[in-house]
Amino acid sequence: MKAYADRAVVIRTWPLGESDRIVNLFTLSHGKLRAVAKGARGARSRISGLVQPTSELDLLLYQGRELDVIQQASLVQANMARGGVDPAQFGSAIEWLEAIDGLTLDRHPDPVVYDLMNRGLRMMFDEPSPTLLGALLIRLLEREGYAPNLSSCGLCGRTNAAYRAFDFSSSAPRCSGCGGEPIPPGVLDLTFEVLNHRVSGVLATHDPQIGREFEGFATRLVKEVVGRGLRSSAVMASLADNHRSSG
Amino acid sequence: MYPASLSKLMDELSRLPGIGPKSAQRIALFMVKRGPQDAQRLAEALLAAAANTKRCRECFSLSEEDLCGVCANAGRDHSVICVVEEPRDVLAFERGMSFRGLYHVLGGVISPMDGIGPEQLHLGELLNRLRGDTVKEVILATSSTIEGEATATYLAKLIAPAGVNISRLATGVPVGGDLDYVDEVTLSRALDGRYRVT
Ligand SMILES: [Zn+2]
Ligand SMILES: [Zn+2]
Repeated sequence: MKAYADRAVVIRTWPLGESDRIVNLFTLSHGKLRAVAKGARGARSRISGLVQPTSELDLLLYQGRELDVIQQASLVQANMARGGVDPAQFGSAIEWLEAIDGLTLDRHPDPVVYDLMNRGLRMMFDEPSPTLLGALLIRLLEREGYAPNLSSCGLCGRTNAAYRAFDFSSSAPRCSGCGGEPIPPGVLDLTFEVLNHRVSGVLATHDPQIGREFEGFATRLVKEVVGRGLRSSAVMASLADNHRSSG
Repeated sequence: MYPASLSKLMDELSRLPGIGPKSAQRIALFMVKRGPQDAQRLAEALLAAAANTKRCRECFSLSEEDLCGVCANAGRDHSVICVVEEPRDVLAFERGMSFRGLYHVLGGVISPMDGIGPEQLHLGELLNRLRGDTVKEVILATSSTIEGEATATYLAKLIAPAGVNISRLATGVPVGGDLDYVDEVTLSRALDGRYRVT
């Protein structure tokens, strides 16, 4: 059997049989793939603490008949997989990983997405901003070829209008009188800034309300591409709510 | 092909957790070979367990009565509640025989990708148990996975206003394990949770 080394972030895991785990990985050189972590649910496993969503690992895998098998793992970056995890940060990180899972194809390596994924996870921990997840999702959509076209109204072609509505099925804004769903003011400006690689200004927005609206718009765009909503989104909303109300 | 009733049995068995078609076939053939008396006993045990087992109304652990044996036991320390994910965790603590307090079973952990949020867990019931001044300490004993950690942090914030002591189950080096066999995350958390010897 052929062994290979790769670096990867754990997207999610499922229990398998009595003591193993199936691990959904986004690897640097082989793209997204599923592998088996043998014995990873045992208390004395060498890798149980490592094979956790968000953690970045250096792996040695060998090709199995159906799923590849993790032979060795060492930690590069724990990200959220450590003690005292903030529930809201955890929720954002999982939502981010679920979006990556939904928008990428199996076994299509993309170092740009890998880097974006990793930088996103690090920033959620080190320099959280209410607009971070929204900005990350827009960048990911753009990379995967699903960036909205903001240059003109999708129906009449009018440019430079103050668009207050959006048609999600064609991913284009609508001017007044051209239909579409109403969207909060400001989200298209933020999207435009991200698409023009002026992200630092977007991340300097500290208004949590604007952050939520931008995130809502971005996850809606993701939903349109993936064909279903992200399951984390609803949970994320309640985690963030409780987080705020309890200070 | 097997006779219809035997096929049906295999079909039912193969839906059980951890039992594939091969094991289902082996168990079914074994039961048939043992004859109707053994089958009767198994069927009765199955029915009785399924019909009589319910959730304790206080702690949501498994019980045949409204109150489970732990909650109903006046000899247990009613001032400490150990919060766990599933009934099997209660059994794990009870096997250890060193915990004398009560339990609270959440029914899972916060798991966003599975769509499980705080609303799906028995959190309100836990807060109700903390009203009054019987309970002095809550031990957060969710697992040391990222989901278990996030749930523990969430719970700690939720419970804080009740004014009880909140502790988290320690994580670290397994007893009897070699240090160089322990992974980096576990070791760093064992270091965070170190205690003074002198
Ligand atoms: Zn128009
Ligand atoms: Zn009980």
